[in-house]
Amino acid sequence: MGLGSSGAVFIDQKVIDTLSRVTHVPIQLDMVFLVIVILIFRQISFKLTEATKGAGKDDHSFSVVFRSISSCAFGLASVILVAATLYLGYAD
Amino acid sequence: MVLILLVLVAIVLGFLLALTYWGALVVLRPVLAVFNKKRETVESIEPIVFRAPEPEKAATALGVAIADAFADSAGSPYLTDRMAFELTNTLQQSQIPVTIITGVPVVPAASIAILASLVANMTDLTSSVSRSSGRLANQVDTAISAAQITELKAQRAEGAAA
Repeated sequence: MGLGSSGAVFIDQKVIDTLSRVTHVPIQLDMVFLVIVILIFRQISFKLTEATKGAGKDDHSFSVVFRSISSCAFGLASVILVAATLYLGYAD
Repeated sequence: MVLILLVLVAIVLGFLLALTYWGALVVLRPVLAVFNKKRETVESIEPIVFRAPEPEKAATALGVAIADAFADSAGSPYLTDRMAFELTNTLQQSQIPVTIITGVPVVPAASIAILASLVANMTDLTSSVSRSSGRLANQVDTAISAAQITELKAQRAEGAAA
């Protein structure tokens, strides 16, 4: 559940400068918002993974498949959010 | 606004990647199933070979234990912890000193012979195993095949009925 390398992204000077200029919001609010969203994504991913553990290996019902895909999607979304923030910081 | 857009893009991209991954798994599943089935077939026909000072007694005890283990497997070609535990119990009740390594989550059922090879007291029962390599031990007194296991089960059932 830790933020890992995304912490390094959020204290990067160029990312901070770009975000505060683009969003017109204090950088602290930007960071808090992003960190909270990332943690929510990871929590959702973790909870969905836990929920699918009870299902059998051959259980391919819609709910199980949907939960598995959603779990994977939110895990990926948290990583993509970090990557997108870094990209935005250096592309602008 | 930019941040919300960023979050939405992340969610959409996350779902797209997850769906792609799932689609690839669905496409590859039949291919993987073929390989798994082939492996199970090869492993399940391996003979179980061992030697002992009292081959008949050891063969009967081990054969019945293996038959029980397979019967409990409900058709699965894999040996579970519970089956290994029951195998240990059966062999110990037959007064054959054995030590079976448990705690292995899932092992191929054919490697049940490997468990038999892990005999603590090698003076009472010495086992050797022919598994994936297909090599037979140099000194072989008794071999139990799948057909013999079935026969042992039938004999045991007759004994119980009598």
